[in-house]
Amino acid sequence: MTACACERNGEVTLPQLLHLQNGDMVARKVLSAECRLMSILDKEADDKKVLEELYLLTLCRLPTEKEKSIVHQVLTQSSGREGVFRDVLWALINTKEFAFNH
Amino acid sequence: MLDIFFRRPPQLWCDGVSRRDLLRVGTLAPLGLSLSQFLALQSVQADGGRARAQSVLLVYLGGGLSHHDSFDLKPEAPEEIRGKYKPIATAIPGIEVGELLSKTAQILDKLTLIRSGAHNNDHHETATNWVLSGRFGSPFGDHPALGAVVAHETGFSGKLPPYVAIPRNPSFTWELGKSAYLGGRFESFKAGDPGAEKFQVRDLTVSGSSASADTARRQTLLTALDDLSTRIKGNDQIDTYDEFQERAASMILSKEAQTAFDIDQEDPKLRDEYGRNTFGQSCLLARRLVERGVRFATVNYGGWDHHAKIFESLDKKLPEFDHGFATLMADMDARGLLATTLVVVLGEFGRTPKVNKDAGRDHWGPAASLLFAGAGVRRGHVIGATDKQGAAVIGRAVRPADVAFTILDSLGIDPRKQLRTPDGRPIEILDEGDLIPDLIG
Repeated sequence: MTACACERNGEVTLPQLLHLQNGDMVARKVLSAECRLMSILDKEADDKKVLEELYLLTLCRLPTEKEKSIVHQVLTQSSGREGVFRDVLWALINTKEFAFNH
Repeated sequence: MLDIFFRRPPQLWCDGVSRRDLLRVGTLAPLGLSLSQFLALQSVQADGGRARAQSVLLVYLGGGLSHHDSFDLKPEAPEEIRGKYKPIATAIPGIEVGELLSKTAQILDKLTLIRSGAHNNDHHETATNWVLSGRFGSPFGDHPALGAVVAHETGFSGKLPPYVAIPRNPSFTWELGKSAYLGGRFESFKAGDPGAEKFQVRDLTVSGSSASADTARRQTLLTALDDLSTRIKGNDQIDTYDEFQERAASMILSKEAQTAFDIDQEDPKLRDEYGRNTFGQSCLLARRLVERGVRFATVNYGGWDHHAKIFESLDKKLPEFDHGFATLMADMDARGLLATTLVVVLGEFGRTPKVNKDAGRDHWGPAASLLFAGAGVRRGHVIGATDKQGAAVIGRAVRPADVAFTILDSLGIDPRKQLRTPDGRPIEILDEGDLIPDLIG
């Protein structure tokens, strides 16, 4: 930092949020066949364990009971476990907790 | 801050980007207005009923257009001053411009030509930040560019960002025309190059991670899981993140923003008329954007810094400018957009009267030509003049602060309004300058 009032770094800008929500980088993380998510889904049949893995990978903590029930509800309402977990991972990467706490 | 691809951290995900890199996108500094302050500002109608313009379309000729070879010819001067171009008649009786501006010559009666632009700085970065902000400062941009001030004062219009730079901000070595102490929230939104094949705004079109996704489910999950703002109140970064998260989603998912940037919806013939190059298509995109409520659109058309072989370069560049700009003016006039849009054309300075040993012209602050049109600007009018050599302005010069004052005043923004730096220091938008005399009416 300098004493100059014009120097401001690390602010939230619109392109950053567009990039997180819609950019190639997150798309690769979420959609790629070789990505971490797919290997977790392959080896882990228990959805609760998958969710715990994703939370540990992104937010470095286990999901709360409330979060577990939110995802559980979406899983039971949707067909396609893979698609739901892709969206869960996308949502986790887009959370403020991910952006601010880590 | 988005230097996410330049590091090679130890912990990589399978696509070679680490989680830490991703987070850097969202790393934030403890400065800025709170959201409530921002919304309060936004809700204050800036114009108070005085505005002549809803939008500004600025064509920025970075590098410095040679006035001798474009809008202020000196046919009576010696050859080393007058250069190679012949003057031609224009739609304003008795007023001539350079022969490579034949289309602009025909629409000159729609605008005011100012031949008395002047300041005393010959440095690209310093002068660029000066003319784009209206305040003199360091080359690194101590004062917010007018577009950022306008964004600060007006906020978003619907789903479109208020300040858009096409293709991007001007830059010689570092980025210019930034938002300075106002902060990243008011930085220009960069559209990219609409002259490129298959032009798309980066991360805006639904083809990235949103393609084929159940976007409703995603947003539901995000809303349900992203509860940090309910746990931490009154943090400006978190509030800003929330706001832009919503704006980003609505831009990606709405037709409004997608359509505004979708230049393919224009008639191919009209696109040809503008010119199938970056400048021509940038002008067309700028028209689309101001038409849809963008408050400040900048077309950054650089490459006018001709220190050597200036005529070879201008032989190519002036017709490109002529094509795009004349079409823009005719198109905007036909659509009635000149009633509500202020169009301004300027560079950071003019160029030296005398052609140098390398057949170029160098930087020249004391004289430059500018164009103004629309939003009450007189049609078919010329303001000011330079001396026989095109070296100095005769009479009252139009200074950068006058240009900035006129732009802000057109939008109904008080140019003397006090803004605040992050540390709370009050600072006037402009500390000098007046409405350009004889321009409106």
